[in-house]
Amino acid sequence: MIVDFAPDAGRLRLDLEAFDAIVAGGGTEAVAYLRDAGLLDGDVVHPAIRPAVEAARAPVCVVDVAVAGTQGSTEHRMWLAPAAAACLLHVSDGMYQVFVVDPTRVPALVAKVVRLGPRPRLTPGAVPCPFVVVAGLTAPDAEQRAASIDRLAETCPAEWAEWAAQLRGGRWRMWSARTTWPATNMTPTGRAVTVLDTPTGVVRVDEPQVDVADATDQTSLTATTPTEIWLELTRLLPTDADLPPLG
Amino acid sequence: MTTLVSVANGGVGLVVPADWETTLDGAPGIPVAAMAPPTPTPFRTNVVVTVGDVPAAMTSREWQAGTDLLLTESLEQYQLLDLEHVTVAGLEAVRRLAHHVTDEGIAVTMQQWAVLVEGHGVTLTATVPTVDFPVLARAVDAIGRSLSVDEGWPQ
Repeated sequence: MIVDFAPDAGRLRLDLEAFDAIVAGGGTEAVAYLRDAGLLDGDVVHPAIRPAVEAARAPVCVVDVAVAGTQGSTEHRMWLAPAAAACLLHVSDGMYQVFVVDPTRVPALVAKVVRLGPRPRLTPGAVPCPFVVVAGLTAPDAEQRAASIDRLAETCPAEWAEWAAQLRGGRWRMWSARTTWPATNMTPTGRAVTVLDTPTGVVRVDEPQVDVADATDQTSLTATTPTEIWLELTRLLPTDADLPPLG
Repeated sequence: MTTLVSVANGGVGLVVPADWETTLDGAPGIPVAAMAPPTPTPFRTNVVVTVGDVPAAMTSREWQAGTDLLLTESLEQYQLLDLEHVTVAGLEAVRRLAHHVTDEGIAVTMQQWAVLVEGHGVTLTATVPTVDFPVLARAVDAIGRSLSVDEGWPQ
């Protein structure tokens, strides 16, 4: 468990174990460590982190963001409550920066984390692709990742040749943003968007469907735009109609 | 139902939904502003058209580079999300999508269409509370795409 807490400097970085311990209340050993670190005064959470802890203890919705590229993968998590959203953004080596934002600013925060920004337009179109190929982009094994890149680039239509060249050159980032919340029947539900981003254009990766003919999970890659992706991000959060009634 | 709003001596036009509230010549350089019907969000979606002089030697791209800088410096938490080169009335134009926070702390999504016509910069800016963007995105996009400039304007 690691905590780097300097409230006067506005810095709060910790690992997931420490954050989970604060949210859950923690065991005796964890509580002692959190007190030493200044995050707990007795059993009272320090005001600098209290809104984040309260949001994480009773979230309306959870947002998971995963970003992968040739340098590896990072994951971030946000808990949305009506009054505030707690955000844990991965900084490095398992350490997360903690901060609180207004829940309406979460789509913009996700856009910043995934570096959504202007891109050239790809020729409109969609191509089917086995999901295992897309998943291979985040494989731990470098050879498997390279093989997936090759297969993916071969899948692309001729009009996307520049985009495929960016993949082969390692200039790509695949990210997903996924929201979950308890639905009206109390089973978890949510929405997600997955994007394969390069300097020459963005492609949306659709959720995989089982292809009955060859019994594989198929996805489709669809040329899109940052504007459409922004629209998807603003749609990720639940509306009142999605949520169970209060009380 | 839509309303065609024609301003700047009939040279600039746009189409807004009939239930939007339209104000003509509400301020110097702002020939038209339109507001969507109120929603529970404490910020009304609106569209503002401005017409202003641009130095004769300035190209459309230089004008827009300056606009990007101005927006970055003047709007809180400004985040450029998309920038697309389009045409308006056959002229080079841009459409930008951005996010910022208002002085009242409300997260808003801004779409802006800008075209330079004979030293006159015509800009249509649509601002939507981000929480309402899923519902209003298509309507706002349609308003922006309806921006027209008559051949021969501003002579």
